[in-house]
Amino acid sequence: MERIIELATKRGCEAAEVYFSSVVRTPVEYEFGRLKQIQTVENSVIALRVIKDGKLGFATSTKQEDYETLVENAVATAQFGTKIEFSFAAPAALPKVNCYDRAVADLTLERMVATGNEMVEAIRSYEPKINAMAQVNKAVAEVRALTSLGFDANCRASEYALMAGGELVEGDNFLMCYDFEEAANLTADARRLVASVLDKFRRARVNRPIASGKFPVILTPLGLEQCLGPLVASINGSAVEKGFSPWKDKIGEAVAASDISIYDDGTYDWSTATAPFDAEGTPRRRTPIIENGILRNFLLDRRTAHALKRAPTGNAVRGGDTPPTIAPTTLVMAPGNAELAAMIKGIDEGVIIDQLMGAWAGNPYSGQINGNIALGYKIERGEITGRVKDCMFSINLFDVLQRQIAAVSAERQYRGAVLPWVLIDGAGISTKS
Amino acid sequence: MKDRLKSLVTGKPADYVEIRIEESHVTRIVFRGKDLETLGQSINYGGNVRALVNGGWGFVSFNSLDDLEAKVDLAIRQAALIGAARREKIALAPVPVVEDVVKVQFVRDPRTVSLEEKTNLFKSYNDIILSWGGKVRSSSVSYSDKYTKLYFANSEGTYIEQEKLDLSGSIGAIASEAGNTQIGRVSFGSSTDFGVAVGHEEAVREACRKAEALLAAPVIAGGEYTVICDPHLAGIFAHEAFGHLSEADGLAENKALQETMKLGRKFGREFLTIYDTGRDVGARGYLKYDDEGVATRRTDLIREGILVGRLHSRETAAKLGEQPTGNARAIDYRFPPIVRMRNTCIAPGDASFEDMIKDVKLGVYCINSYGGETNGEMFTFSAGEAYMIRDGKIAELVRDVNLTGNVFRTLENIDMVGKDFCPHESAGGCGKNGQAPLPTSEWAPHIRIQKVIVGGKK
Repeated sequence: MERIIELATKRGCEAAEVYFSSVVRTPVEYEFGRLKQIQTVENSVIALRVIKDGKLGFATSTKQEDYETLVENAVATAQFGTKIEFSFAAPAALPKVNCYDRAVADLTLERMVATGNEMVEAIRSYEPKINAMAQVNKAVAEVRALTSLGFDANCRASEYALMAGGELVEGDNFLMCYDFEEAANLTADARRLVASVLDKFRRARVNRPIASGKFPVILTPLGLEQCLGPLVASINGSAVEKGFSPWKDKIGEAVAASDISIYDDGTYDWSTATAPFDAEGTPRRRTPIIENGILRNFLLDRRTAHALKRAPTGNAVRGGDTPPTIAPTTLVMAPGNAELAAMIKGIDEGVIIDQLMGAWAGNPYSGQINGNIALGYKIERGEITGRVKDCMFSINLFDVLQRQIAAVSAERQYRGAVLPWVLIDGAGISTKS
Repeated sequence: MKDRLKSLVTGKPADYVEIRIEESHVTRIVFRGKDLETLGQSINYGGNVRALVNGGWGFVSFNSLDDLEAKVDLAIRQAALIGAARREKIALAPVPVVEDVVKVQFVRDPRTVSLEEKTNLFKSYNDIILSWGGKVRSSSVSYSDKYTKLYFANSEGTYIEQEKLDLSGSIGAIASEAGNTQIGRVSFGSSTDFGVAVGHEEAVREACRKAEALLAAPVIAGGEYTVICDPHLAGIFAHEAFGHLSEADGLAENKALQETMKLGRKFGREFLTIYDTGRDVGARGYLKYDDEGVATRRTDLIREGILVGRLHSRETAAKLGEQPTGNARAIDYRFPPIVRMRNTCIAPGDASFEDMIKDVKLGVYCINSYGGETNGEMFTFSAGEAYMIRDGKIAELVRDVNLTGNVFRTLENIDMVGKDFCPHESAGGCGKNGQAPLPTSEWAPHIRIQKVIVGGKK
């Protein structure tokens, strides 16, 4: 890999950055209650960014041996590239993080198959009519980042993920419930996961009517995560720099009620997004986004940090053959002091939402969320009485953060993000008249 | 390549083996505001082996073509591990053994267009937006073209070399004012012609006007409405409302769903016909052979309101005793093929737009799309632009219009199908089981649907 930097320097580049990643994933998949497919997916890619005559060039290749073409492609794009002012990573102290567990790498296929069998059997024994689905997935990644400024670091990361769920079709009524657990170590627990899925089936077996109107709605951590699109879009440094973010001028101002705090934690123990450095070699860190309602930071890569005259936050990510973009690592919302059971008890007529469909569609900067309630439960006089369906749920996330959150649970769950259950006052439900 | 691949899959201890090698070249251009954020070239080279042993599938993907024998053996071993535990075998529906070489029927090959010309074209659109002034403050312009050469061989003797092109782009004008940000968009796509990227100047100006107008538009009031969809959104509707439910992988072992989805069931009125086809040259969903080496065809899903067919892989076709349709697709070598759509269409009817709108007292006219989602029974589809209809006339612009329906009610609520069938192509693609974006197309005329639930302010 040093050779790529050498080649780029020889071609007259002022600076170069190489990012190599190699991932081996082993998904074990169950369909219709049975083991269906075992995969071994290897993917290695080398990405190169160069600065030549002050302009940025970019190329990637999965051909491990052909460094010359990679360098030529990057240099060719630099001719027409943007003049850039930021620099690639220089050597820096990296945080010590927990993102690799040898036990994941050592996990045998037989053990994974046994875990999957246990999950689908448990779902089938609850209700044989459910088409039980499951996945047991492990992945091990090696990453190395290298720049002509002397940054050179590598890291190993692991991931162990379980997914379980199923579909129950009764005439024209489809009920689909699922859940997943994932971590960089072996934390994911098949029994706990199946218990969660069966809870969902039990709660949603009967359909309950609801009329259009405004209701108190509890979002589960999964449901809440699907409503955070406007927040994630608005704190993205690129949207701030380019002026699309409605929060672009709001650092230091209240964007949420004073009991709301949200962090982006690139060092969160055993999260699958945790690593010592990001896709540009910037150290990962914990960044306050909203603290006690006040907007504190945006998520920044090196380019946007330079443009906004702030420090990069270590939020550059790569997806296969695209250049680094900005994304959250592990979003962590501070817990509240409500108890979930008490939140439910206190509602005379309302809804719990666990899964939404299509809530991501539309313009995220408007804050408006409209999603079909794919899995939601009716609360009547403090009790969960069944499922609500064929409804649209509507909120404006920006308004919700400012003034519609009535309670936040003390309990939280890690499902990629660490989130509590949140009670929203006056959420819109639209359904057939 | 041919002899090497054929010998790798022949005479193996498996019921079926296939191998795929793929090399793709991608060019990507992204402008955001004044910056050319991405100008990149990527080479993706790799392959996979898939093996079937006693009803279990093994799949191995790789970047290095060294020691392919070992990869074939690993796929077979993985498959055998499953097969040992399964009682019944998986059969694959028989298909003709094919030897073929498929070339792209280029109109204008993007590989013959220099990086400089491409960059300048998209810069010129970006400049229109940035020099618009007023409340248009930024832009988001993205383009990519991907040329792929695929080599496929299976243990039955099929060998196919297939070229593919997928090209698409999207140009967005972004207006903002007092914390409110709105977007107007233009998009295009093709599987044969760089020419579709050219000539959008007027459409880009229109997108600027649209973005500014949206700033002043109110959020729609939630409720149940009569909705007229333009051809683009009608296509997305067909894809989400019925296309996904027609994918037979969800059905093949699901007895209850087979009962619900019995061929012959009435889903719509006599003027509703929905089909999926791989045969439209130039469409992003064009495909001569799918990723199991099966020749594609037109497959009617609903004909004159009645359920008549579904989309199959060889495995699902065998399980249901139906004909394979050439719908097994993988986004690239890193994934096994699964049942996917190609170009999903609503066939033209005989209504004019005037017929559709004249008796609508209160409704919504929805244009363009931000995409949608489905779980089989319920689905959403989101409008890019929408106007209220009042007393038979198009009235004020409204925003944030996301619609939802239920397949067992909404299809029969389509009470008019237009005669203006439109072969519309756009950017983006379809996602399923972690494979996204897959190039698909959705062609349709205007349609009118009664009683659609629209989310929004209460």
